[in-house]
Amino acid sequence: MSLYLRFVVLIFVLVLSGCATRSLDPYAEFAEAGQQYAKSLYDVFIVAQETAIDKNSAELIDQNNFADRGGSGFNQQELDRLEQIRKIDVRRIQAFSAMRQHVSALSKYFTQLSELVSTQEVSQTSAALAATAKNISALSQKLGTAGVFELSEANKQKISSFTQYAIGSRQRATLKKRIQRDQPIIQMALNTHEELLGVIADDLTHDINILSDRQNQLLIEGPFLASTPLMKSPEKAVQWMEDRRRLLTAESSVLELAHASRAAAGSLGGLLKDMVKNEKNLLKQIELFKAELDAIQAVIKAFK
Amino acid sequence: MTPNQMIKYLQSLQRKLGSSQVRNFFESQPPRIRNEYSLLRSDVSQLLGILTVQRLESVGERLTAHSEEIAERTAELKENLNELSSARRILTQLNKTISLIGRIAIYFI
Repeated sequence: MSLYLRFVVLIFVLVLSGCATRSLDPYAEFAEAGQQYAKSLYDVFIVAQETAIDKNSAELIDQNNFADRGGSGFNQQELDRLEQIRKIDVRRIQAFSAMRQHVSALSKYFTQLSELVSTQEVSQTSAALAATAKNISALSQKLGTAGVFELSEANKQKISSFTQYAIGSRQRATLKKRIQRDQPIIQMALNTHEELLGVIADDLTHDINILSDRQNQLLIEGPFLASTPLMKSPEKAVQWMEDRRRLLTAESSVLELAHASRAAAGSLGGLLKDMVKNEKNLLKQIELFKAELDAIQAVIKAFK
Repeated sequence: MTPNQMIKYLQSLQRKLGSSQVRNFFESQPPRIRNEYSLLRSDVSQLLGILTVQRLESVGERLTAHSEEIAERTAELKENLNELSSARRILTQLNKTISLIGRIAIYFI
């Protein structure tokens, strides 16, 4: 092989191996974003379930407050009331539990995708090929045809890089084909998520309003209308101010959560389409999507 | 009236029945009237609870159907990973074979 030809091959291999290090990035980022989305969905379900139970508890306490304690059927009436709401809460928990199982299946899909992207198989296969090349070289020397297959350490490294790229390309093609094939199914699930999150947003907004009303009556109106003015007891006044701020903030953050989680389902659907059709600006879009998920997580933390 | 419209109506009713104005009014009523008010609110809560849970369950059932398909796709992804793994195993085996040929060749040379 002439020196010029060797130089051309070397440049070609170096360019390809450079590309190989970046070629799987959008897939890795996409798989990670998918995992984060599944986690956010899981957390939103938990918040919605707990808020619904708390709202029912607050309603039970208030309804019990107005019950006729002197009436003959008081105990039975109140036990029946508790039992009816318990049955509803149990059904709701079961519904959310089934939904969390779905999220778990989705999470496993993205985890497997991530494993395929970040697998060590590429480097391990490349190492196996480099070792094979080295052995061929050693064998050729022993057979007296030294020079034909003789490889310097630097060239062995080039072979390794080239192999890594070749396998990386194959892996990339496999991933693209996979995502193209799976896109309609994941998209259908995401459409259902959007619908579900609309329903959850509606329930959650109402539940938070009722909870807020009850807490407002208990923590804000009660002390405000008490015979002793808040100004006369500074400690209670400070607590009252904190409670008032917390209640007002909770109402606005739940609306944020409801809108953000629904928007996230739409955004992931958009990313999925771009993965299949147009990879331009994909990394930037994935970053924006991750920022959306971070915002959801921040609101969820505020609930805890 | 659709189930969604019914839910909206009951949500609005539940909020009005528990408002401070309505509560203040019933606070001063005789125990029997107070109890009626309490039972009415209980009925609204139960009806609303049943309807909202049914709505959740209905969307949840569709999610379960998606889960099965997603699980199948996950299994296929695992298969892809196994394919890559078997390609490596073949190369490793090839490497061992070449080493063996080398040793045998040295013996014959």
